[in-house]
Amino acid sequence: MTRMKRYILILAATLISAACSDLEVNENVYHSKEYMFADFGMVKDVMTNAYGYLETGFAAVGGTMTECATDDAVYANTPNTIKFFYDGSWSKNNTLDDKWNTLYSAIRACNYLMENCPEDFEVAQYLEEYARNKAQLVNYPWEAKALRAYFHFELLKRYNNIVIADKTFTVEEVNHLTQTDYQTAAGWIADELLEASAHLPATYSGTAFSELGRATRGFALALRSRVLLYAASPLNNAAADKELYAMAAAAAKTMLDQNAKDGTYMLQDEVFNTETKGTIFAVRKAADNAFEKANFPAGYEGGHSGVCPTLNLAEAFDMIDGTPYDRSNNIQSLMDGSMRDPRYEKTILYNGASFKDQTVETFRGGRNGEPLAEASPTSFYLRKFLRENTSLVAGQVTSYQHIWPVIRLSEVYLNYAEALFEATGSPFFKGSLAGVSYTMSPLEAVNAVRSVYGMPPLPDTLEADAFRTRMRNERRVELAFEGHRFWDIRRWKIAPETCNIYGLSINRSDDGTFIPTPILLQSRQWEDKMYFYPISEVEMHKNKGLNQNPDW
Amino acid sequence: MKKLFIVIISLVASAGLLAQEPQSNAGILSTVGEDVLDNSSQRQILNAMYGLLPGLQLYQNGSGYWPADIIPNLTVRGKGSYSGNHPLILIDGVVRDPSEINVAEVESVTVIKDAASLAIWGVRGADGALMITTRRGGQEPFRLKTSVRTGLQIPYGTPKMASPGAYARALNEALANDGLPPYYSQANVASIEDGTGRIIPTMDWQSAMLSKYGLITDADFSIDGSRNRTRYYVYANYSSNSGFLRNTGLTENINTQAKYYALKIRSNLDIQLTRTTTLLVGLSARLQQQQGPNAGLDLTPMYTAPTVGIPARFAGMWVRTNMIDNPIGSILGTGRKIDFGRSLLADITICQDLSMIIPGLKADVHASYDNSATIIDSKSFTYSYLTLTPQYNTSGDLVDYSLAQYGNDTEIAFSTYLLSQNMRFTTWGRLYWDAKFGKNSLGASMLASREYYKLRGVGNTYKHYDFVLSVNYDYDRKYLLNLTLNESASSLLSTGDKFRFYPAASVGWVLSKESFMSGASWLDYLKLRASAGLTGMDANLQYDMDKQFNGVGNSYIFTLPSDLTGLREGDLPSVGVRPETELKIDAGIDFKLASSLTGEIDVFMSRRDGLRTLAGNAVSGVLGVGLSDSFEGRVSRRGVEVALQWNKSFGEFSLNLGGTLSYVKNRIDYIEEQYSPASFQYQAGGALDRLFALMSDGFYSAGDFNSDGSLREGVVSSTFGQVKPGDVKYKDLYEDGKIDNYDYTWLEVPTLPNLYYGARLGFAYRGLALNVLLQGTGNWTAVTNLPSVYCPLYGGDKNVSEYYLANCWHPDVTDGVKYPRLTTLENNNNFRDSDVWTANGRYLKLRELQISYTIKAKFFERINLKEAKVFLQGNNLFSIDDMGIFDPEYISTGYPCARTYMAGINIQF
Repeated sequence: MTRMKRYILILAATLISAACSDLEVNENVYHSKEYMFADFGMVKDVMTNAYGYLETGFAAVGGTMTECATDDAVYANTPNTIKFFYDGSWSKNNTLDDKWNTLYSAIRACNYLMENCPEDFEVAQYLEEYARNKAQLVNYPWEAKALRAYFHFELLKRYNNIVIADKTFTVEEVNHLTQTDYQTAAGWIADELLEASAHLPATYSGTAFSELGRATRGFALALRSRVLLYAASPLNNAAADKELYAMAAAAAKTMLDQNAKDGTYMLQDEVFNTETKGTIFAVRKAADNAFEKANFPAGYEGGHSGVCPTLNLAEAFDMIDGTPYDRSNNIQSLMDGSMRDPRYEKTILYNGASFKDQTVETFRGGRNGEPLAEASPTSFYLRKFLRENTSLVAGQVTSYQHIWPVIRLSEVYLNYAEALFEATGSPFFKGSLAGVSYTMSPLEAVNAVRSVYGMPPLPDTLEADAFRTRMRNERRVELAFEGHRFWDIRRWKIAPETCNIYGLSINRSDDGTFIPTPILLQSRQWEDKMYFYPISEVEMHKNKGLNQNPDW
Repeated sequence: MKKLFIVIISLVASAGLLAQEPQSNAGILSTVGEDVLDNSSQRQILNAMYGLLPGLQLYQNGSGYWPADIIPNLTVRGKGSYSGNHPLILIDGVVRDPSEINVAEVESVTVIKDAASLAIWGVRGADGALMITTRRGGQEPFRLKTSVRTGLQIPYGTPKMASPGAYARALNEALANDGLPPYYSQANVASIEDGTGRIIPTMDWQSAMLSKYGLITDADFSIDGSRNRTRYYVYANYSSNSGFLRNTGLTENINTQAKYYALKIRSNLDIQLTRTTTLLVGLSARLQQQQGPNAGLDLTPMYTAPTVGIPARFAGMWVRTNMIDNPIGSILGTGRKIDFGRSLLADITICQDLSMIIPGLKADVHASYDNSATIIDSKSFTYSYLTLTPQYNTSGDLVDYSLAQYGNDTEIAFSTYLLSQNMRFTTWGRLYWDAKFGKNSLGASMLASREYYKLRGVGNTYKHYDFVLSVNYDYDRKYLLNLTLNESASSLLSTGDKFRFYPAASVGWVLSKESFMSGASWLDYLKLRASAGLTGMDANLQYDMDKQFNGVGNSYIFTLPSDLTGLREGDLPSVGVRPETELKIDAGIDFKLASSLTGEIDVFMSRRDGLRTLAGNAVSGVLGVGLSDSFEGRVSRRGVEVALQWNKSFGEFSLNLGGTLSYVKNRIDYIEEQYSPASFQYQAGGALDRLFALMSDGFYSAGDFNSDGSLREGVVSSTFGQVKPGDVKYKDLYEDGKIDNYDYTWLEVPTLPNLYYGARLGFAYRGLALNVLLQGTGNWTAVTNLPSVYCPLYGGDKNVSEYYLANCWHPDVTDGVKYPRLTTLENNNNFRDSDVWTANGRYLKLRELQISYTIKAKFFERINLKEAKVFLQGNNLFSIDDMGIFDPEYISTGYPCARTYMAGINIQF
């Protein structure tokens, strides 16, 4: 019996040990942290991941553009979340565009690289590719630093008081972190960008990999001008401290001066979705027609109208002679692009515009007009960024690449104009301010942008207030649908004045002429708490030390 | 004597049971045998089990697929976990797909639910098991049975959509409610209603697409017997089912009708190799073919296309609009698809008597290999179509349509691909030993088993080991004791931590054998039993949860057109990966009274821990990286089961009545939940499977508003949108004067019933017999948020049902309504999860009805005919419920469910 017992024990032990090795099923592939930084290629991929957090604004919120929550556009499709921005349903427990978690993930991806990136792979030095790999490797931490600053700014403009994540946090500490105030955070971001700019190359064109999508010196400096301009704006500068504007002006000048030396970028009449010298930093998208599906006018096969520019925006474009549009005299020009600033027909499809070899008909009963389902309520459709060649016809579907400009040179000119004008109160200021010598006046900066399109310069007789209006209008027109208006109406604190949304109702009379009538489409809700986003209640609960933005 | 032993062992072995079988803790009515199965009118085995076994709940699969080959969802004693329910379905001891098993080839079905019986499945057993045993030969020297039945399936639960006139008026009413101009003028509506207007097309999609019935045929053939040293059972079945889709004749050469064919063969052989060795071989194979439209059998477009405004075809082309899909075109006009399924199940077992070594010692070794695959073969194409845009005259009448052609007619595209394949290899070896010392019997068994299961694709390989030691003792079959210990392993667990230990014990006391009970002559049998033990469940784990998966991250384009794929830091790994562990405690009584009433009553309670729960709900998003699940969740359940069976004969009239009832309550004891300031938003403390929804409080009435359309002071407002009279008013649970996300709560009644019952009634008089199977449930919440039928007209859901129109708020009908006003706009207030879009799902259904007549004739004996029986059968003939338009188990705009009417004949030689 004892022998029996022993046999049984031996048998059991053998079976169990055999089972143990059989039970290892190693089908999953995973990488250790060491492996992630084990060679040039892997580190490059880690860097690529951080870039991958950059987003376009083609479908930023609720599948559409943020302009639909401003006076620049309305969204044609009734089921949408973008309207929560203005219908009163936005709250700390019904958040919108809540990028808190995503942006901190993006920041961690940058920190992950910065904290683990090796300086060199000496073992690889005899390989053919070594030199150019090494050149790229040493650049990564600075690219990551610039991106990290960008992601922090994306947080800052939304949430006002943010946690600066200059390192990866542990699970134990993360619920006890505290926020910094806006100016401190903006200053930190600006300093980070300045530091990164000293190491980043002016351009990647002509480098070993020619990877144009990487962060450049120009990107860091241009972003810095934006960050400091936001920090100086009325929303964040209640005391109207002109020194903040002076710093923003100096930052814009630094970028423009550096660019004059490097010669990388130049103002030009942009052809969107192509590589241009006017774009400082852009997110490139592979061929895709989702944007066209969403925004082609109703009546074009597959189109769902999407972003419909408002009459408010249509009227912001100057007349071709450089004078401002005047509704009582120029209303017919809304249907004739040749009478307007050339940017008008590059931005908006209007009744009578030509698109995809057809004339856009947005009058009542027209091919693209009401009562057609999903037709634009404003009579206008989006033109900017759409790839006209895209076909959504079943069986012949085509799609094309898109390029989303994150920062363009013209913005820096307009940042310069705004900062210098607000710092000095004069459109014509030239000279020395806070130790910096300015040779281009705010007016000249605005005119530099206008001249690209052949638009006559603004008159040199403008009063300060009139100049401010024309300058802001220039920014609205130049940067339309690039994601700026949403933030500009906030930092200028003019949001309450942008709540009435107008469209155009066009009737065709029996003789074929069009009778346009402005109509009030929406009176949107605005509360001052909406200048900043609420931090979600869930996040507030996880970290009890966080402060909520006012009135949320 | 030895022979008998071997027979017993081989039967036991084939059932996959341990030597504990004679003293099993299972109740005496927890098994359904041939007597019941022979009278079933179902083909597929699980479909025949509704309400028959105490503690087994079956629910018709409401997922909207074609029900020809779909098996019911099942739970054993309800659910014990919020992260899935995985009861084992064992066919001849091996985990297998029960959809392949027909009623006619099954000998018995047993539900296994207590810890002592489940212990041998260790880390897989916590959700209970259903054990199906197929037939084997040997009861008679030779037997031939054949059964043929054929009949009709009638679709039901297809709600009627509004007629053209009703639709046009409803659309105008909805537009008026929204403050918009009418779509159809008065004159248009009148012409639609009386059919005079030729301009506006009307179309009854439902009658155009669905036929009145489908045909169903089912033929069984089996022979069994014994010859020399071999016992055999051979079974074959052919079944076919043609669906409800009407052949429109509009798509040339391609038949998109739904059709199903299956051929099934089984052969079970028991061969006595030597005096002490028996070989058991089982082979089962099935070929099946399921054909349907390439677009699938989801008929949602049929319900969402209105009866007005769009014809099927015009000028020889399909018609569509921007909003409305053409259901005939999109479902029946885009080609067909065939699923070919093949499977082979093979078993071999060798049983060896080892009494020559130690008296009472036996062993068996088993291996089985199952393999199945589904291959898809499709023909598809797209078509060009016209879209209609209405043209109005100046007085607002729709006078014409403008037409535009879109799309292209494409060539037929062929494709064939493998949809699924799986392979399972199961082996076990066992040693048993039994001995009797006077009135003491002692038994012990050791089992080592391995299961290897592989589905198509990576990470789909699963292995399980169980090493079981089981000891039984009884004294005079009066006091019974069983102890089972299982060292059980799952490949899903972490390296070096694969094993878990599952002990269980049960005791039994047969009171009726006690001398002090001998006076009670009416009492034939009375047994008290109890068990307790641990069971496990690993199915909710994934591989390598303890590792940080750094891997593929975001991609980015540095230079057009190609993108680079990045590498990201993975979620922080889980700590303490473990399977769910359930402690089960069970007590029961079995009895038999007056030779006619048999009964079984069980009470149980169990507590499960180690449930996966989200760790991230407590950690700030500033961390910037995901967290994997932790294993802190806990669920408990308790309940009672009763089964009664009464058989009695009065002369030539015999009666058998049976009933089962189970009542289970479960509770989430702990789950990591997202923060909410309102206590009623937390799930823990309540039952599983509840809906997170708003509670309605009637509808806004005109009196709730000021003359300018704003809400009166004190009336609760909605942050989900501007409300109007006829919109849903919700309960302000958070009591802040407005309805927002904080007013959501977990509805009290879960989406699975606590109470589940069944009743089987059998009457026989001479050759005539009637068998009825009824099954019902107590209260549960059925979700009815189906587009068009319930949530009508807005968005892409452009239709409305008659039922909705009869029950919704109208400007002139505001009392006693169930649903909010009609609207064409997206209404963010009305169309969100709330109790408006639920109904009480309770039902009592006639699952089966069979009337049969056994023909007796003198000449039968001459031709060796033992039995001839003709019968009429029906399934799902009626349901008593609160739903009205749908089967409560099948609220779907998918392929309709069916009532079945069949006639057939059984012949046995």
